[in-house]
Amino acid sequence: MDEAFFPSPFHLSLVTEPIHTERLIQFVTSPRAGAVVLFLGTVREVTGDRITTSLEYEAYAPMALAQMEELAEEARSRWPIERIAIEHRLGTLQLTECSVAIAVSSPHRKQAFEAGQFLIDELKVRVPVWKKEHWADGTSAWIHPGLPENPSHGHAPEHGHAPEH
Amino acid sequence: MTMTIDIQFFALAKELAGTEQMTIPLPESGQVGDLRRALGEAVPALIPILPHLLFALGDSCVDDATSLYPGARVVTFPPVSGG
Repeated sequence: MDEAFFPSPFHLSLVTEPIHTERLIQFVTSPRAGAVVLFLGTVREVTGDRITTSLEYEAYAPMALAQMEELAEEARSRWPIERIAIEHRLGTLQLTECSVAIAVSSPHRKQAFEAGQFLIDELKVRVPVWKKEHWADGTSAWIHPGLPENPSHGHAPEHGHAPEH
Repeated sequence: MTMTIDIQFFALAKELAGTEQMTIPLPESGQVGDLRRALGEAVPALIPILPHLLFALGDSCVDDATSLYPGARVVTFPPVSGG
């Protein structure tokens, strides 16, 4: 590899088509890494007593990408990361589809696991992406953790918490 | 003297406002906090979530004490829920 090109160690993207996890793994794979960790967030059917039929994701793209870059830089300053790939899907997703994928490579597995956990935890609170739940009873609502009461036409989810992967 | 601020909504804020964007007049040298109050007057449907709305200019969040300028393009949204 010609180091003069200083290829970015990060691949960060918002996508409207299904996420190709194989490409993310390929991006982070490096002879300097002994570990690759891949996290996938997937669309779950049951949250408390609600049955989800689909999710709809929306993002404020310029800020979402800037925040993803900031998170990746933070992770690399805390762990000896080789490469990071993050893709978040937007639009309507059906059950079991992948909404977010994070791949991390590092010399040893502990660092990759820790950085991967950090990246998904922080992404969920800092990156401006929102999900709207569509439920089996025909109602729907945007999920906004911390709002006292969801005043939209749909019902608020139990306890107002965002569904956790 | 007044200035106009372009504001763009996301997620529940967009749903409650019933529009993706609007223009709000503010007194010159108005701050984000003034915009928050003006938004409640212009769009009463936003009042229940008004204290929880986050505001951003470009790619970073701004607080209520941030000064705005004529033609500023502000984005507003409730807490995030990606992943």
